[in-house]
Amino acid sequence: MNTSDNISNEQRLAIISEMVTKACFNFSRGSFYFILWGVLLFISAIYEYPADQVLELSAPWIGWPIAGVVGGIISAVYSRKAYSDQPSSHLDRVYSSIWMVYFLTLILLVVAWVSNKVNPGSYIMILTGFPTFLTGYILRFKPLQWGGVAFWVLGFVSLYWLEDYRSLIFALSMILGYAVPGFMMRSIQS
Amino acid sequence: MSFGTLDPLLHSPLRLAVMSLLMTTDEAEFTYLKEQTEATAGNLSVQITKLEEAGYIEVVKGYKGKRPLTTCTITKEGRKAFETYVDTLKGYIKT
Repeated sequence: MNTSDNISNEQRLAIISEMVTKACFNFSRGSFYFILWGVLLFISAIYEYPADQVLELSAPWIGWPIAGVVGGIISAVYSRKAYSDQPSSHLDRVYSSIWMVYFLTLILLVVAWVSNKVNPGSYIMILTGFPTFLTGYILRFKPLQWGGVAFWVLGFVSLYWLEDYRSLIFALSMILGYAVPGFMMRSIQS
Repeated sequence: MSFGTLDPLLHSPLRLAVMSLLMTTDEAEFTYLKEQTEATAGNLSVQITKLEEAGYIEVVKGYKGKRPLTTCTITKEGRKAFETYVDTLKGYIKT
């Protein structure tokens, strides 16, 4: 950075722009969670389909709590490390708030659905469309907005037309809604 | 229009850079500011003190474990001064 006082006004604006860009939302940091959860939940969904429909195992859903615990631990460790030496921007805080509210709502609804013997898969997809689309809108990042739309469409389709293939549709939604936008965020940052 | 209307405190590129970084973060550690501005610790320390004396930022010195930790936060007055500076700067460039 040019630290001489004799610089033009355009150069001063360029300094402001450079610093604000450096401090704005860290796409690489944000992409980590989308990729992590996209892959973990994709594996759980892919496991559930044959375990339930073909092998007819007693607990085909076992992948979900395992993915939840593993993802939760990895996310917590990563957050602690990533935010320990870097300050959080306003967008980081908005991003965290949206996903925290979503997570709490999801937990309450999953408990309600399961206790009422309702398969939560389709509803989870529809609910997940909300924070995904909103995050994409706030960050002005189209792939995440399309990811949110993919969650809504696939959730609705699996609810009414392709119930037997819900696990596979859920896996597809994780790829389109989380993993693909996550990898695109990462490539933008690099 | 003369340059006199621009806040002289923010005219230094390093102070301007520090204020720009603090505008977008809740708070920032000294080491983070040093990394982003690529300034020397001594120079950065002097400029931070000037901003603090002007009431544009708050500086809190403490410890993180056994390591000394200096944290900077922009004040309401600093935020207003920065916004005015940017608006004036844009006005100069447009004319």
